[in-house]
Amino acid sequence: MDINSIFINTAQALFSPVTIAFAMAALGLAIHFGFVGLLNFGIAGFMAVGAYGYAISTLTFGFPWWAAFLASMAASALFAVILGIPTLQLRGDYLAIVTIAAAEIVRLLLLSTTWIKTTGSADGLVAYADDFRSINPFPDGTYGFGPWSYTANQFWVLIFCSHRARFGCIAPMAPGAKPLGSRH
Amino acid sequence: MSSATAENHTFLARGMKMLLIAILAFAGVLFASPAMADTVGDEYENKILGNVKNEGTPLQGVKIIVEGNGYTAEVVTDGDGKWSIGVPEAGSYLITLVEDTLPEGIAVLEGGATQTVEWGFTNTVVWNFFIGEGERNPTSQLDQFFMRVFAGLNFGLLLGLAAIGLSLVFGTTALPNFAHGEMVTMGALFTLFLTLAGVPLLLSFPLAVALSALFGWGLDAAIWAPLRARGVGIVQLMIVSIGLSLTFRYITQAFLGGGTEQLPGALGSPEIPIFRTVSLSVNDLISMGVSLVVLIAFAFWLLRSKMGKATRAVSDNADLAAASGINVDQVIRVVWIMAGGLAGLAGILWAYFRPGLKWDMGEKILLFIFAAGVLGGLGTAFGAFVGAMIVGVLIETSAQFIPSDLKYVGALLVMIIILLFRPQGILGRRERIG
Repeated sequence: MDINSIFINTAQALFSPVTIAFAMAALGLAIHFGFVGLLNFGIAGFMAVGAYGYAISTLTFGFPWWAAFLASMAASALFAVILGIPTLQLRGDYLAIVTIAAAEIVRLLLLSTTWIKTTGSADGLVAYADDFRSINPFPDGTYGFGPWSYTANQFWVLIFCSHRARFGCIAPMAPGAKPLGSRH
Repeated sequence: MSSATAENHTFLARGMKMLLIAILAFAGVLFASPAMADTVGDEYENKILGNVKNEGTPLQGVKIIVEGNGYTAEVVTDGDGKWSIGVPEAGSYLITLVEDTLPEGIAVLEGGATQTVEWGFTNTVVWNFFIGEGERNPTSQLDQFFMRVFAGLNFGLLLGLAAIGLSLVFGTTALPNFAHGEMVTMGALFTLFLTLAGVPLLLSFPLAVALSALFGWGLDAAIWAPLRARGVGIVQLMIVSIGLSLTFRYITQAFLGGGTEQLPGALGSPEIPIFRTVSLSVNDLISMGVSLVVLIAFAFWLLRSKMGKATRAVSDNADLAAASGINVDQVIRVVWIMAGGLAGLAGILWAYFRPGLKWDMGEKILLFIFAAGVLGGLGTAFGAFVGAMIVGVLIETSAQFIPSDLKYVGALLVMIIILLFRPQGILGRRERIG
């Protein structure tokens, strides 16, 4: 086994768009569980609503990237409000069951072949990022140093995410905002 | 929090409930106009494909449904009459040509509208229905409904076996056990290993149930009893149970692989006509009989025996039970043994119902066990049984009205709505929720 590649992969994973995405999701979870002790096991469902919200508003409705961003965050926040407010009366473990069930419902709806033209069913959706990439200010090429090497597109996502960290955090914070206000 | 805000919050909550209902209703409207494709499951290597033609004329818009191994997909034929469905594995599938989508006077002439796909040695199998002018031998909507109700009762009964264990564990220890699905898998797994080891089938069933009960006892002795003794909080215990669930699921996968195994006699069980065109397979009838007998025996145990009474007492109020001289630890141990055995039996029956045994089958059924338990009222054994019957029948019958790959959504929605409006469930008491 090439031990060295483990270190390189780990280093790469430290600064990657995917890591930032997970960090934002974890932040949303931290607000939920850490601040108000609400057990949300369905955070992946919120991520799915956000991701599909972006892809569907781009592909089906032809939104520009910024409008798709707003739409996806609005969709995720709406999902949080609809699910969150009535379930707040529930005790922790009951809430955990509800959030898991809600995330499972989202998964089943997205995987269903009923709306395959919109959701892509099990194949998912691709080619929704063209507009976002078109505003990429970095010319083609490879960026970074050492183990951190990115294509222009990856680099753009990375810079965009970290630069807009506070902006991007609105999405995972939205589910936490309501519980914060309404319980304490 | 001031009382004005509290009232405000209640008002807001009620409004949100209404909004949720409205959105669910809207989702229901969406079901009515599904967009269909001629190709689904493209990402799978194994494909079933075919061509629907009547005397050389391709038929467009004919609906084909594939069901089996916990997988469901449906397509409609394209302009050339062609369709293709990718499936996760080269297992046994039921394939249905929906005759209502054929033109007037055209019917499936041979083999019936629902057939079993047989797999060759390749990744793809071509499955064509022999259609032409003829009398349809349709199963009427009503008969279909009856068959679904029977399937639902069957599923509900085995779900009840599993849900009672979950509910009793919750009642006596307040733990929502997310590893309960894996306890279900174990029953089927033990049966498979025992039969592979050469144990006669009929002997391997009780042995597997006994091993599952032992597994439940082992879990309690090794993990839950020490954690209880330390006074670990419920949320932490719940996370431990999720960890256990993942651990056992992937250990199972390591031993079993990712494919579907069949228990002996799971496929090709003869059908027995009940009335009109409704028929049930021998396996289904045996499964329902076994579930009923075990459930009735369990009810007697719970109502009549000293231990059963003690279990109900602990489930009602552990402190009061302890104060009146009941050995709570012993009761909890017995509950874990019972839960393990019942879940194991449910696993065996479910492996015959699906049919098939797969490493993640427990994960697939877990939320429905919870739905059944929540619906009846977590902590009540009889509530779990009632909830399981409702969930089972609801899942199977709803597939007649909504796309079959969405039939599981209904049960989960009902669970959420029950938790919103009557969180104590049908037979539960109000004080259980905090």
